[in-house]
Amino acid sequence: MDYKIKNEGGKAQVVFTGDITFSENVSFRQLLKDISEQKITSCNFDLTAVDMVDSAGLGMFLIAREQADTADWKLTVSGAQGHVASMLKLTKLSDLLAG
Amino acid sequence: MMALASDLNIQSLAAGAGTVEGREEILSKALERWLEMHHVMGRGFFTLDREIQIVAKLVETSTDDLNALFLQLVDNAQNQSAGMGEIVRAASLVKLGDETLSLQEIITYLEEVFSEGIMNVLQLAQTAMSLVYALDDVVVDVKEVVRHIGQIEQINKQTNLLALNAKIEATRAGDAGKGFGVVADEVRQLSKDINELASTLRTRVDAVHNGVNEGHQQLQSIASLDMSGNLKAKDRIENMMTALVTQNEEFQEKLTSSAELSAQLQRDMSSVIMRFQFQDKTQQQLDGVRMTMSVLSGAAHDLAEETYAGSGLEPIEDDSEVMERWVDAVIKKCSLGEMRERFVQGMLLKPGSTTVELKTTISAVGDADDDIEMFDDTNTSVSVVNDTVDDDDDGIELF
Repeated sequence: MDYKIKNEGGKAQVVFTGDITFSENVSFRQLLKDISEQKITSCNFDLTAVDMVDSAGLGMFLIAREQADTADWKLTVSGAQGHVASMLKLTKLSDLLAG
Repeated sequence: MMALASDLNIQSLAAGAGTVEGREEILSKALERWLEMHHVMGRGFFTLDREIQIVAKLVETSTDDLNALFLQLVDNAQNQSAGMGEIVRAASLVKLGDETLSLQEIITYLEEVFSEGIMNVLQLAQTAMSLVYALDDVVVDVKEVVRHIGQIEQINKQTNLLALNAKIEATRAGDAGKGFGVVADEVRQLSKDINELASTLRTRVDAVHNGVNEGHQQLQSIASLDMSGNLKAKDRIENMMTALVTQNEEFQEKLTSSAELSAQLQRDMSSVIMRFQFQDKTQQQLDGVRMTMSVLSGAAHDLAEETYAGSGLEPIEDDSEVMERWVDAVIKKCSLGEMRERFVQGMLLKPGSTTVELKTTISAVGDADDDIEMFDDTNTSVSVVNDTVDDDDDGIELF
């Protein structure tokens, strides 16, 4: 998994590429750390280029949401397709993290 | 008329027709034929009357039977219609003990249970990832502890070297350095103890590190679930439930249609039962026929009585050849076996006979003993007894 963060006026956009699974937990934690170091009011995870997400990946999304609640910024997801979109719908995260 | 003229044998009598005797002979012969015809017609009326009664009874009995059958059909159609209505209501419901659930409620319940399971998995994954991150922090701390142990060991190593140097210097100082040598030994022993303690700490911290790593792996197996199977299962369950609901709706639609057909059948059969009233009209018409026959028969009887009285002719004892031909002609026209049998019995009645028992063979007609008096003739009296026709109280008296 790779990611790029763009922050435009406190509105962060994280563009993911690759799979988001357990093995990416270190990278994801680093991402959370990177975000926490920025002053933002919202952050959107762009999942357009993500092919696969497992339950650990979804768990990491929820940890990110906890961090957002704590730091008072809003987390959203967008661009999910195919399997990723189905997983978000199955777990109702698509509603929880709707833009 | 041609047959009658032939039976009078006019040609053979024609020679004497010009004389009074000849004309009287022709007249006498004609009266004799008329009386013979009266006998044969009487038997014919009698037989026809019996047939009419049998037909009337057959129509009545058959109508009653059909009526009863259709009433039964109406009853069955009502039950069927009610049963189908019950099926329509029950088809969309499932009984669980005292609880009655609709299919939609069951589907909603299953979806809730499934979603709850998925949410539990998600919650578990989140908790597992939180623990993973917590353990990562523990690993960092453990590594820090290990680094500190290394520093302790390094310090201890230098302490030991210092103690060794102090011991050497104390020995070189001789007696003056004896006390300092003892202190140096104590410091070396202390260094040795610290080294053992550090070694023990390193061992324990290594164990913690290994435990954390093992926990990390265990948490990976908990957190990393490929939920594709759940995804497919959810889709399949949703599809099955949708199919079940659709099938149930089609089932209900067909049952409703069938119940409507049963109701229509019930209405049609009720209409058929109403139309069975034709039997009453048929009975009235047949009674009219019998009445007409009775009047004609009575008139012929009166005329025959007058003929006997005026002509002085003797009562007919046996069937003449002419009478037998007429009877044969009637019987030959009967093509129906059982009817023919009754006609044979009725038409072959001897002029001198007083009673004959006619037994019909129509199974649909019930037992009867109506004792209908057919012939009120001094010469020929026929009484039908013990036949299979029901009581006749129509008051129609033939002959």
